[in-house]
Amino acid sequence: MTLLSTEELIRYSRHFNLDQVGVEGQERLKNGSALLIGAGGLGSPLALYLAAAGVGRLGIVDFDVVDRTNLQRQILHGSAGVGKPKLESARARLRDMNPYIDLELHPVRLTSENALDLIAAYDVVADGADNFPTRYLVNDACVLTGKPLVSGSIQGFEGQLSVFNYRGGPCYRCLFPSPPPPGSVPSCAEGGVLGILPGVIGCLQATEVLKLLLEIGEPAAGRLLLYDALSLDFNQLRMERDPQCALCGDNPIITSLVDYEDFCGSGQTDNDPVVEIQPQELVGMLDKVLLVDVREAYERLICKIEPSLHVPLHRLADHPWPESGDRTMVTYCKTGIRSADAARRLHAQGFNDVRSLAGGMMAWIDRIDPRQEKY
Amino acid sequence: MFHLRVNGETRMVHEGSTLSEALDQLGYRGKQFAVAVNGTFVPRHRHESYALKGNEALEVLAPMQGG
Repeated sequence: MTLLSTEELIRYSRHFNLDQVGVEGQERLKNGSALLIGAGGLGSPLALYLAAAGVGRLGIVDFDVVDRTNLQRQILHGSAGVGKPKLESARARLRDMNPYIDLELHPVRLTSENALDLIAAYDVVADGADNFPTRYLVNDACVLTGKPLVSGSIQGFEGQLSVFNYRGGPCYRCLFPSPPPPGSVPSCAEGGVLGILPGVIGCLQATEVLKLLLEIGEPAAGRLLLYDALSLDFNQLRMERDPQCALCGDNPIITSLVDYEDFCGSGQTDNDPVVEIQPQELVGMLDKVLLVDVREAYERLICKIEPSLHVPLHRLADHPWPESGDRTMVTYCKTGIRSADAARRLHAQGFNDVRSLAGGMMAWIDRIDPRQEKY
Repeated sequence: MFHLRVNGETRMVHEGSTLSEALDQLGYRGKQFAVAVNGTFVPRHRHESYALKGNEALEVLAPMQGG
């Protein structure tokens, strides 16, 4: 007798001639479970392939909605899903992909309060988060609940992959004991990412998940894979559990989940407040101020405020600034975060009257110029 | 001075440098990097005591957050 129905036997038949899978392995997958953190770039191929392969219980945690800028790489979602929860398009696509698995969709933000319970309910966790606080939270929760973590991350043309916390192997903190200073490592939105890249890394993660569930091959535990799409280099570096690791070491200091926004410094507000200007105020002063757009060139192709000088944030320091005299300088970006940073830096460079447009270009379109396209 | 191979490029550091001193000279001071010497990561707390001999291959990498 087998757990698998005739329909399933036919569906999964290409697995059966593989010695490492077979009917028995397929039953293992059906009895197995995996939790995906995020239904984004990495989560898309992870979910699609793990569902197709017949992982019996597939959980996905995501609270985000589909944005048009996601569609270049997040292939779980389509144009019709824009503006709707990611888990809604995930449900439709995965149900169609494989109706013989249980989908458990968790429309919540993963937090220190819910992470242990969520993660404890699955055999394997795969991380496709897009921020450091969540990456540390997932790692810590996996160590505290004893679950293997298939970790992938991407940026630009490069990706990293490893299996953490597996059979005495290292955890994410053995490699990166503390996070980089906030703002020093770009997100996909800030730094850009080749659309196919999460497909490559996400498929490798899905493969590792299957290997763990089937207990076959050599999982990437104790190894960090570096992938460079431009050079087509796959490089592996070895690592061991650090006996002094604060989390998984011999004398752990971290024995429960902490506040990860605080740990990563991303929740902290800057001590140096920025003077803001509201769109309604700026509209009457456009001819008097020096307006500086600190966004990237492509963003100006979508929408902009004229007249404005274009100096991307990373070029502020070496831009040949004119003598501004007593003119007020106003910086703007998409939502007001980069422009506040720019205002702070320009103030430090000696400009006395620098203000940041509150709410950025998006607020400007909402309140002043609704004919322009938001993004 | 001795040579190191850092992320594939030949670089020079002061003879007798520890890993942490070499990273300072190479411009990685104060940032949170993971560093592998000849293909194996050296835990961060060991950087200060790790003596380099010269001609090692270093991989210096920052974590990525994108997903």
